[in-house]
Amino acid sequence: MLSEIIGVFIVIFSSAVLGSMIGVGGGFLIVPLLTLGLGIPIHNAIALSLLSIIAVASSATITYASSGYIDYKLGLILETTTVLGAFTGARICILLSPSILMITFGVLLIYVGYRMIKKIEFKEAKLRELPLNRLLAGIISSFFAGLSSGLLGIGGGILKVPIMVLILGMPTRVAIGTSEFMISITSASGSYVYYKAGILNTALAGSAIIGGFLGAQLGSRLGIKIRVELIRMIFGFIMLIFSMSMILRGLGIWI
Amino acid sequence: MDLKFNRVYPVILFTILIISLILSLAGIIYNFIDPGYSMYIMNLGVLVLYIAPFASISSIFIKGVYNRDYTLIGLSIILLIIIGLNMVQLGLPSL
Repeated sequence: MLSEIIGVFIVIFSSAVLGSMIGVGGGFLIVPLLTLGLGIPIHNAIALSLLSIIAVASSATITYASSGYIDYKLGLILETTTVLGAFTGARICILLSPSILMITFGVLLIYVGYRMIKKIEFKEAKLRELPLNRLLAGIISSFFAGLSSGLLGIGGGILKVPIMVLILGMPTRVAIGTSEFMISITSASGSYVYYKAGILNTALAGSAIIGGFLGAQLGSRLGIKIRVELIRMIFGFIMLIFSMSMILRGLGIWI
Repeated sequence: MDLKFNRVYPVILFTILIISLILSLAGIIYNFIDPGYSMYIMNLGVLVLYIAPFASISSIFIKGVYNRDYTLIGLSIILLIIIGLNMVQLGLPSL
């Protein structure tokens, strides 16, 4: 039991450090590492990942809120559908078999890995006023960001930030701050479904919370001092390796 | 008000996180003394963490009331209702 507690702490702490350094939650690293590395069943790994993301995102929200980089009104508008997506996603996840979840996660990791290696700069859609059709598009796509969060145990920032920048025309920094604020609510909603279903391993929850919080604090400080381009590239390649491993494991091929 | 809110809101969030962190750490340490009781403490730590989003939304609700921003008030109430209804449907938390 002690080895599991230490293992979960190391995985979540290091993922949160790396994730916060390059501005993502770390869920993309946590789930594969817990599943492939520590042999924790994928449903439990997703539940632990979401729990640690609450701590990571809340910790980041503290920083962004003090700097005034959160658009609360737009965040709450988008969060209404994101929360519904997270509740739905988590409910679907419980019904899915581990192999289907692994393949789905693996496919999503290919996209994340590609985005990490080939850094895509989003051109802000500078809008004087937000047209209703763009707002509706943002609200609908936020549902799918929430769905992926609840289903796969990720924060969903990788989807939320592009939605806010490209569709809603928010400045990137405000989009990141608002996304972190939203993630803290989304991940708690998704995590609660796992908690009530008895999938969240309470014995390991403590190390997930501590690892997530401390990792996020250290990572956000290191990210300012260190050039993160190389780390981003390495992170991308690791994602691609993980994606292959997850897909193969999902297909029943063990390597 | 916005400047005051930007100072107060992080403090509220930080306090909740610290309480959850302390309970989690106490739970891990207590695991060596009484594993059964340690589950109870860790469970409490998890439940405290679940308060964080409610604290966020409630803080924004208060900000809306203070600024007489009815959009903010309405949105925070809608969100609280959505989360609340889902939680009731799933079953309220218990120790």
